[in-house]
Amino acid sequence: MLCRILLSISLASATMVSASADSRACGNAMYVDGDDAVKQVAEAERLLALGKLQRAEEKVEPHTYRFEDAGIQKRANIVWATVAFRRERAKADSWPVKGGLRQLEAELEGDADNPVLLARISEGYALAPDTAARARATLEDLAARDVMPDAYGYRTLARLRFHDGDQDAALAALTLCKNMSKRKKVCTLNLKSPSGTTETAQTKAPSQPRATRQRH
Amino acid sequence: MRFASWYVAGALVILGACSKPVDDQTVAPAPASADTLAENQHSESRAQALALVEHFECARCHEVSGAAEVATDKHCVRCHRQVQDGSYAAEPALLAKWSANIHSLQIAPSLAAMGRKLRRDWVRDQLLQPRDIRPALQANMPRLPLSASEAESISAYFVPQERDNRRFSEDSIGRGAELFARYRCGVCHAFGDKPALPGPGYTSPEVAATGLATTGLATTAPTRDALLLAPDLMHTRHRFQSGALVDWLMDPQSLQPDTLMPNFHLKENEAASLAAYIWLAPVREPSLPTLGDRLPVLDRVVAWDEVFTKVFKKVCWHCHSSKEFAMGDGGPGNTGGFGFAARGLDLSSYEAALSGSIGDDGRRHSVFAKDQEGVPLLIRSMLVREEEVRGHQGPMRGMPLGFPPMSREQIQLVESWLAQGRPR
Repeated sequence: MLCRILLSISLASATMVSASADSRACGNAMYVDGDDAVKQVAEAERLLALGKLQRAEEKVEPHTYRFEDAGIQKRANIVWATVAFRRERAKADSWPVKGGLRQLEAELEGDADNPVLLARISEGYALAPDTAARARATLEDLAARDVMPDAYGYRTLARLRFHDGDQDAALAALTLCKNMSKRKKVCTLNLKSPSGTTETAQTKAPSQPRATRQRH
Repeated sequence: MRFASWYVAGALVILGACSKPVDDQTVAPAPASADTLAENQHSESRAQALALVEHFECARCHEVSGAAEVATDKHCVRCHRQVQDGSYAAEPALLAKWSANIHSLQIAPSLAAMGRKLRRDWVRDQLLQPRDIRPALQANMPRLPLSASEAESISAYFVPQERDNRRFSEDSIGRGAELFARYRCGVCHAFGDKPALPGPGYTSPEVAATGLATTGLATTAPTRDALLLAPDLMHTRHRFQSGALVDWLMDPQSLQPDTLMPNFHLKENEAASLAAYIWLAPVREPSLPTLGDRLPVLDRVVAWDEVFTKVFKKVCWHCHSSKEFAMGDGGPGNTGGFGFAARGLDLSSYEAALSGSIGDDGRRHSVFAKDQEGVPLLIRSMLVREEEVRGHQGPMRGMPLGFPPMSREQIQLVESWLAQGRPR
């Protein structure tokens, strides 16, 4: 009961970050500059990409902020859930992970082939043995279509492949992860192999690209 | 009301043609057949054509009589102008920042009176295979997903009747050339390989005004907008109804009240000579700069921030942006528009760019997939645009749609980023 009251109070006091709701063309270029809600969520996404989970979460914390526009709220939800999945000791049965998964599953209903949603939800599914296969299938499909949205997707895929005993395929995913990531440590995994020994899976740093000959 | 205005326009055209003395160079206008008139005036076909005009969103760039009003935030030209003149509702600092980034779509030709002067088949062809006829305008007519019959229907809507009934005499070309020089037509207009005096892309109204002021012939100096809109006169012989050209040169405002073409108060024989020069004088196509070789992928690391800043943010994301960040409309290249289906391509963030676009099967596919020649589709679309401006228009649409091609350096940057594994 006390929890409900506290939740009600916190929701009632949540800051409404609003933007005008009329449909606009080409507005993205302008909203990123001019709209507080857009700027706030964009900053949260930037912090998330940099691995600054706590600061990213603070920008979209659902008890503090609710965004008037459904699209902006959707992006905030994705950030909030992803933070939960990427925490160092994230547990599948923790309420942030379960809540994040529920949130993203709801978002998927209207946007079933959104690679960002699919990759992020797979990060969540990968945390639990009973949903890991589903996560791998989703990530394999994104990889096959070459629409993996970021390095974390390949990192998760590498981990899942490694657990399934597909070492070569796991290293291939890690190579793609390293090519994409600004932070190379994202793509180094401490893993338990199927035989039970702990290994550090990493690839060689990608070689610097070489200049090609002038085309004629 | 709309039909009434077309009737009035048609009546004026017919009256104008009939009231002129018929000289030996004028062929009596062929009477429009009853069937053609009936077809043009048939309200159902006009309503269908208007529906096409609205489907292809002509009124997002042009002023179009009869079409539904487009909100400012969806009207490319009006929005840009309001940002530039400071009347758009935003902080002054933001307006200043955005204004500095606006280089195109500040003006587009009005379609309101085109039926009084342009040829229907030219309008149809321009819809299907757009040519850049206005050298000073950065944007040109984009190649929309129109079928031949849709283009036919729209062109008939805009040009219900034609006055293609005048022939010009080669004997008048010399006199016309003198008048062309005397009235300084070349200050604003290119003529084939002869560029407008300010030069391609150079649109200083001061220069043009100075050029014309010395003549004392024009009632008004051309504005910057007039210079931007001035078409290359090489196209006139294909574009104009021959029967309308002399009237246009004598009194442009009589055919199009809001035209920016100055009225030089030419006498009819002067206008006829000038028209003969424009219509018949030998003219050569302007040469396009050679493309040269494509640039090799770069040796240094090219990360997302650089590609985004110099290419995607600079050029692409106005049409390919995020519907979640723009209240449901991510631009025509994302949520659809100008007759194009929603493809969901969003180049406003790293994750979105890597998420591909929606194919005909409803699923997302990479825009970096390689074609048969090993060229990523995104790069191919940029190369196709280079071909389009050279007149080679194939099934694939070049990007940026309706804008000048990317520079070779921009293509090199994207190609390098892709070759390096799309580093963040």
